[in-house]
Amino acid sequence: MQITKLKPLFYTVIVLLALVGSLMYFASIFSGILLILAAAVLYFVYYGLSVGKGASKALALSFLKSLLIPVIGVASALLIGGIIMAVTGYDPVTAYKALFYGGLVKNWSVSVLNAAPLIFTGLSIAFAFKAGLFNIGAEGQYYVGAVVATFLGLHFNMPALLSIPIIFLVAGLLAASYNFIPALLKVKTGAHEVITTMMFAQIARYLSSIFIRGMGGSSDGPHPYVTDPILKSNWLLKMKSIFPHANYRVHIGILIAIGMALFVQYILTRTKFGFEIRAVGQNKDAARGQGIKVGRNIFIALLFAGFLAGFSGVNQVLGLDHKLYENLNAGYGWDGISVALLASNNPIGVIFTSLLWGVLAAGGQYMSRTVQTPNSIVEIIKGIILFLIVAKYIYIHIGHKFKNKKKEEREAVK
Amino acid sequence: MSKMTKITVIMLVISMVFAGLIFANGGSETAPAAEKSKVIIGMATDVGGLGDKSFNDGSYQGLLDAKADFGIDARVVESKQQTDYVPNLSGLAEDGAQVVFAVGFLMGDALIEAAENHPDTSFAGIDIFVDPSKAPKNVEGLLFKEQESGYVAGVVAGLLTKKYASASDRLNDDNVVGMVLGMDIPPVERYQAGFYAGVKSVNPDCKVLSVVTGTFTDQAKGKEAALAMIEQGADIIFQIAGLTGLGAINAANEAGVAAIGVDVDQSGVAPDAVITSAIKGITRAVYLTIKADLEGTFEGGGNKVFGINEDTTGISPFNKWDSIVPGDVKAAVQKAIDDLKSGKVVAPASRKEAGYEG
Repeated sequence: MQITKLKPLFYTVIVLLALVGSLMYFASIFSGILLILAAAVLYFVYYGLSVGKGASKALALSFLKSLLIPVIGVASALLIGGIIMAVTGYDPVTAYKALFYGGLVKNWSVSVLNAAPLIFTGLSIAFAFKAGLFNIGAEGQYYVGAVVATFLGLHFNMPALLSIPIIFLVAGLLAASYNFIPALLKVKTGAHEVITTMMFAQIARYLSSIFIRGMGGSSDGPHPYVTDPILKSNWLLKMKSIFPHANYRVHIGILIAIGMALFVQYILTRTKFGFEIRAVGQNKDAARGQGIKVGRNIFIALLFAGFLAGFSGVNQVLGLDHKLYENLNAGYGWDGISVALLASNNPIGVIFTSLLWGVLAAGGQYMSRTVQTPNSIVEIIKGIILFLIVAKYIYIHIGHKFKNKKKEEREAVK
Repeated sequence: MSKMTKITVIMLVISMVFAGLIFANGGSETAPAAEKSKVIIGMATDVGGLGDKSFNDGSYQGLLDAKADFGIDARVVESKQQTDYVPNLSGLAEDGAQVVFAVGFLMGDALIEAAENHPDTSFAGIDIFVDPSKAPKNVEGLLFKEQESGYVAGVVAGLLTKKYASASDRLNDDNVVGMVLGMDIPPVERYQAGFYAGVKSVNPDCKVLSVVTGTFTDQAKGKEAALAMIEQGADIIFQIAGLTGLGAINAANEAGVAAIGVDVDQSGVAPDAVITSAIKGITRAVYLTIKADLEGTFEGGGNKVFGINEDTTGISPFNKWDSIVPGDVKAAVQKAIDDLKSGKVVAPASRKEAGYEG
């Protein structure tokens, strides 16, 4: 029988299972895993049937190989962290149990909440990196997105289905336009975007205070300066309204973030624009030689990076806080750099590294609550993971040396 | 997407799910079981964290005192950023804590949200005003009359900076004192207003400077602010800025002038420079709240105000300065305390009441 004829059917079932499964999983209903697993098994069956045994085996191997470096990085970071804990008088086994139990089960909702804004900023930075740019000022674009979302959220009285997409779009566009001057300076004068966007981030952060004071709240309230809460119709849908058992704080922002990651991946790999961006990022001169407009692409890439980072702020305001605090030091822009680097700037990878970061943060809190380890342990582990994975060229170097040595030995035996 | 990336994506999803599955199962079997015999009392600090030698540490000391006396299971967690407040407070309640403390004014919103969602747990907020008309019945605000401590400290500063400036070579004749503020929030303003009034009550011509640093966590900023005022002639720096203020005390110490600590006895930071500290009895308030809850007399839905009559406000001993501070100053301090206790003097609780435009 022609298995390929059934392709649409297989794909629909797989996508449906995966979608519902991840929805449940993110709503802290862990049986959602079973659906995701079923989707995976189905995909394997289909793939095995359509390409034959040999090819699927080779694929599995290459996949395992690509996982090697991240796994080594995380494992050795945990090992080093464990040694530090043992030396400083904490039991590493109980501590790690608490870390993963807290991050993946007990406080999984917090992990998801931590991850969603990181996915947006991570995507922003990863996308800019693909064009050879370092959008270090994602933090600033986050603030622009958050301020605009709060303003519109306060005044935009329309059905949610209409208002929320518009808020996302307008806030994203304004956050993008916040990168207009850095992008212009980059293209026209060559001013380095690391300096310009970082300074713009500081400006945005402290300017946001003015807007916050202009949007209600009073200094007599329980918080020094905070805006009035946004209209309830502009809140993102809570997972609780889909699954009654879900944590009351988790909202659908994580799904929007994942959708955005898929969209960015699509742009980068499937469109002419994405191709040009990658060409510019890899070699400007070669790209110019091919007739690609380098300046134009750099300009648009920085703007799009701002757009993505702005979503992060919108996500927090519409989804979680429903108002904007002054001096909120969330640092999603800075952590976005870490998750983008960890994912080697792969948009899909950013989803997982953001979740890892979220799990470490939420699990770390649980660990410090129950085992009373200091927060710094988690920060140390994060630092080591980042270092070990970003320094992957060391492994490649060692691997090559090892291979060459073996080769030499074999030749010597001959 | 090319086929290869598509496959990689799917594989990644599977691996993540597997990881989740493994940990999920492993976790639920091996979850650290709470010690059932002991009552758990939890505390979440604000972003200043432990080691601020100020109100976070002072609150934690109250928890430790209660642990020593009542044998409770005391748990503390530091918040790294403001987004950690709700997860930390809710998390402690979900871990089985009987009382959960939120340390610091900034945690107000988070405290109410956590209390509303965990009606069976008692919550108490230090420096947090709980609106009795709206707050749930399981949350209590612990407030202090900081202006009284500030007032007494102000009397000390006002006398030492001019009249008794010869007592120490750390003091000058410029008749200027300075305050380093963290964020401009009500408890800080109460200290500031009280201090101003205290200084003026004994030294009406004294110039009282103030700098708002806008942060409780940046020692460098505190140092900078203090040095700027020292340049203008200030010889006594009163810090009301948490961790930021430690930088102010260190600056005063290095510049050879004097300082006044805040919240807890901070003479340990720089024994030669710190004359005294304007204290509030956070430690005692925490201890008393835990005691009340264990005895079943915890009262939520409102606020408890601690003041000089409960021995929870005032100044700490002079420690190393005990031999330097003249007897007249000590007598004036005692008089100020007596006046506050009897109600003869009421320390102003805001800049407006104090008539201070600093």
